[in-house]
Amino acid sequence: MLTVWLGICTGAVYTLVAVGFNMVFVASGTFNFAQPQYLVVGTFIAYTAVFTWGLSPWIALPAGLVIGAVSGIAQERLAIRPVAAKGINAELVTMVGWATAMEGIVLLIWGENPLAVNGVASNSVLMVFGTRVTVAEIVIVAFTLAVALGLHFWSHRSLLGIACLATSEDRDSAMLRGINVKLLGVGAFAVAGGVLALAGPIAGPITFAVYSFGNTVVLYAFLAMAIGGFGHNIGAVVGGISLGIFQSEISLYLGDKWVDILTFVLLLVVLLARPQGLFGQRRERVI
Amino acid sequence: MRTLAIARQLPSWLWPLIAGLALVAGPWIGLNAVWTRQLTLIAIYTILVASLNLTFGYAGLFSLGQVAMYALGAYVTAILMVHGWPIIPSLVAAMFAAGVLGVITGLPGLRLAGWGLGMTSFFLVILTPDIAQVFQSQTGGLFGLAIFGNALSAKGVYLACAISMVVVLGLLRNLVSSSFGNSLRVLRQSPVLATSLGLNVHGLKLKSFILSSIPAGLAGGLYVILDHYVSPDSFDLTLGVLFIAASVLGGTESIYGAFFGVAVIQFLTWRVTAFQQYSLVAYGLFLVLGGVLFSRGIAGIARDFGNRITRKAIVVPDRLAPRLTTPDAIAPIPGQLLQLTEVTKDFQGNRAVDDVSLTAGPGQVTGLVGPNGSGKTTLLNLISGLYQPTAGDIVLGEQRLRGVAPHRVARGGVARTFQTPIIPAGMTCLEVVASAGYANDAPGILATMLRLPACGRANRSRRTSALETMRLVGIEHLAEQPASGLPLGSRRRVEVARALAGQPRLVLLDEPASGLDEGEVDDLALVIRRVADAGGTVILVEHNFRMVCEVSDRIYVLESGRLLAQGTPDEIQRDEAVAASYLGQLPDAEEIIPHPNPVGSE
Amino acid sequence: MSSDALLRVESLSAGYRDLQAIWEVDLTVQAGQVTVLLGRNGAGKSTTLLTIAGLLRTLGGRVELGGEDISARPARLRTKMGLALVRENKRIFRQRTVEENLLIGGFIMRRAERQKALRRAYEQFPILLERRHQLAGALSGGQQQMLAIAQALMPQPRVIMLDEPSAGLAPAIVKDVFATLTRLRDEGVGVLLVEQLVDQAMAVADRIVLLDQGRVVSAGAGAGMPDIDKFRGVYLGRK
Repeated sequence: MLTVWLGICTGAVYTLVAVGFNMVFVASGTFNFAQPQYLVVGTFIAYTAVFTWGLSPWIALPAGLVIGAVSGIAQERLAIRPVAAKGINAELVTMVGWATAMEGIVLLIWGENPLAVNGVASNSVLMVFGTRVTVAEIVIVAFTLAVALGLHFWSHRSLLGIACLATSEDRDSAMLRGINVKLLGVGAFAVAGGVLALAGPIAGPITFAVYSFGNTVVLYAFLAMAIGGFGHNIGAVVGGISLGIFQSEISLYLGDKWVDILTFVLLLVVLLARPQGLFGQRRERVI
Repeated sequence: MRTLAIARQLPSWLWPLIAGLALVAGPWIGLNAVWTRQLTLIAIYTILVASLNLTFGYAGLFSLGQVAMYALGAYVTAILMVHGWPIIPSLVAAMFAAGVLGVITGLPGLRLAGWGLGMTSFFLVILTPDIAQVFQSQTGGLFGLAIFGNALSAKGVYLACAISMVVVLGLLRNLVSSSFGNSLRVLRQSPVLATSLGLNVHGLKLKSFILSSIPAGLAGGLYVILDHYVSPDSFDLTLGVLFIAASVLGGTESIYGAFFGVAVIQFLTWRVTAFQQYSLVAYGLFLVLGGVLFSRGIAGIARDFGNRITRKAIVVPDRLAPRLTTPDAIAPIPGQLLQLTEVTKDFQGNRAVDDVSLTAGPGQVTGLVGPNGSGKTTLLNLISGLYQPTAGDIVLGEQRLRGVAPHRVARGGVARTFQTPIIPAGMTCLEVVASAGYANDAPGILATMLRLPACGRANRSRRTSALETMRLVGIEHLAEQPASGLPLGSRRRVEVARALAGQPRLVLLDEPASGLDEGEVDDLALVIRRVADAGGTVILVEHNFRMVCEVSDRIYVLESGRLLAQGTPDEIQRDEAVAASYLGQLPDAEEIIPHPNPVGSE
Repeated sequence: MSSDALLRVESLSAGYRDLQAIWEVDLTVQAGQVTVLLGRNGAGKSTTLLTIAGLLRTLGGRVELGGEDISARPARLRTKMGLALVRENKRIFRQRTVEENLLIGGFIMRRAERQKALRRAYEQFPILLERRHQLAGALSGGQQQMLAIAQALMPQPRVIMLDEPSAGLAPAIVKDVFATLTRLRDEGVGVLLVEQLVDQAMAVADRIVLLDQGRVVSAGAGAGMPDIDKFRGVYLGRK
């Protein structure tokens, strides 16, 4: 049972990043490879706030939100908008570049040693169905579910949400209908960046602050998105949590070195067998 | 001035060859030990980045798989040398192993594109330490493997690497500046287009994966020979990012550019010691800037500069396509009889085509009209093999088309145009038209790489027949112009010329008049009649009813997937059912469009 | 007469990156009238519409809507001021339902007004009501064109511009489209129409502007309308 719960917790982190992916994907049509770096930055902000400056971890929340949002806007302005028209390969290159730069900056400021993060929730332990569960872990899972479900309902019910979906389909036409497309794009990056950085003190207790965390999480969160369907937030929940449990069980029965190998196999299976994921729409044939 | 004139006439491969030879002779003409080592590293990385450009720059496949091949090549070489194998067989084994891995990882990669492929290849890189641990006994796990003895001198290693680099660059260059390179460009633009030209998309992708894995494996082996040591630490995502940075900096669509990209990055890494700490940030910024500013990298800038020196005229695309002239003689086109018998197509409960029978003969234009959603495009897709019929038969001449893969249908002589012309970027009109012939008479990969005479012959004959077709369609003056920037009317003509250039047994035109003005429509009608008069079999799907009536010998009208009517244009115009469903009303007597005269028979 | 033009374009020049496409184009659209813009391909008709709508930057000249200068306003503000553009090729949001498409059309409106406009759209285009929850991409070409027009009409624009609405449509559907345009004209909307189907366009035109190679070669209204057959012969190269 403990393995399942731990799997759910790590899965929740993947889901959170996947939701960040979805936000940007839906509002601007791009896949933000650098998204996980914002979470990493958030964890380091949480560390600095508590250990370096001796403040309450709650301060880290708004600090993360602001820094994440500002960085997101910077990314959109400097690395995304200029290449919007140049085709997918240019976009791939600048995204990887921005992610690498963020990782490099984190490395420069905080060094390569993993650091412990005291989050907003206490580490006191509860016994739930005979399993040891910390409050911090419950908060992570609850926060993720709240964000994912909230976003899902918002994007399908509210006009702004529908407008986001339309803009990702056809930017010019959206402009002609009066939608402020630039604001939407920037807004998505800002909100996604802000939310993920804000999640630093929440997710920190189980992810720690590690400069290279983004490199592995990006792959796992991508897989979560692939399982659930691109742009689909409930799918991200299903994908992330099932992947977390999958990895947890493999680690227990086969050992750590097989986790990545089998995750890779799972990625291949999903992308080849059902590329649109569980909830995604099959793209119509373009001829 | 005279030197420039002489310089312009020398073959383009002479300068790089001279530079390459000078590089190889380096240590003997004054290069010191420190520089020798740097250049050795540069040579190794250049081999890798140049092969990356093949898949990334030309075929448009974003894959970091190179690092995995590099790692495999290194490990294979190290393990074999530890067991006493001499250098050259070890390197050959490394290349072979990399090639095999290229096939294995290429197979799933065939169906992926964009980020899906990129992520899968990233993952492969991250797996390296795990796989090394799984095979601990052979690879030394996380501690790595060291090789003793059998060492070459530093100069010897340099020679090996420099010569390898020159050879690899030469072969790759030959590959990309050939029809194979253009096929990759077609693939990058649109796999659908590639299929319709008879190119086997999966085959092309697989070939480019293999061709780029083998040099990567070689590079890995050379690295081991240089350092006598291999461990999983050497192969991580940062290395992959470095390679992409070098590729972008040098120009992703350039083979020689790889050298400059690698040189700059290696130089900066080495010289600016503080750079080490900032390396991640620096690479990241390189990529962002490179992606934003240097879409064509150093090589692109050099090319523009070179063009300015040799004063190659930058031609502004003609905004208006000129009127047609009559060519003197028209080569015959081998049209055959197409027969559709009771063809039906179901899509998950929706019957798109219902029991349609149709005949299209050589020397005739067969029109296909009907409201949107009536099944016209589905029918075209059935004929070209993109869909398979649920029932019924499709026969062209003696050949049964039903059940045949779409690229084979195309090779069997079925050519088509698209509702929006699909023209690859980076090719002249002549190259676009000539691409029709790639599938049928492509010289082998080896011949292409070595520039054997067979290659030149194939090129020349393709060029001649392409020019002839362009004359037929009235665009031979556009031969050297970049095709993708042309206005719509010209691009349509280029597409029609491409469809004709492959000696087609059947030509499918999908709404070719869409977006053309009245004058252009007249010219198009003229060209279509010419094709039919030369013996071609033409099926014309079109909404411009006037044009269809002027040009067709026979018209089929579809509605909701079924044949509503068929007959001569005259009969169709007077048909009440057609009028009600498609035209909206019966035309008045004066409005009846006259029976086809060969337009422009004067 | 021309002082109460709803849409006035004066000396408009515009182009794409390094290629200028139109030079000093003048045209007007009156309320309740149809102005037709004709010319061969590449003459600059679409460029003109895109520039008036604000999707292309002007290199010179001005655009006035209802007397106000909108030359410097971005596209979405021009929409708010009552200008609508229906682009060629039935550009609607294929992955969204019919109803969502219409609602997006009314994005700039207040909720209550938007609901009213939605009901009005369903009254004018009953086929859309039938298919309100279907994906727009699943509609036939003609229905998609109707949706595109209905979407543009949601905020009740004063001027509507259409770029080749008949392209790719069966002749019967084209008749329906033109019937819709005449109805709009009768309701007092100003219509600027770009078309390749010269005869049908002439049948509804109150004013004609002929464009060739980016410049206006002839224009006029009523009795002063230019000779189309001459234009066809000279500029379109028809016999």
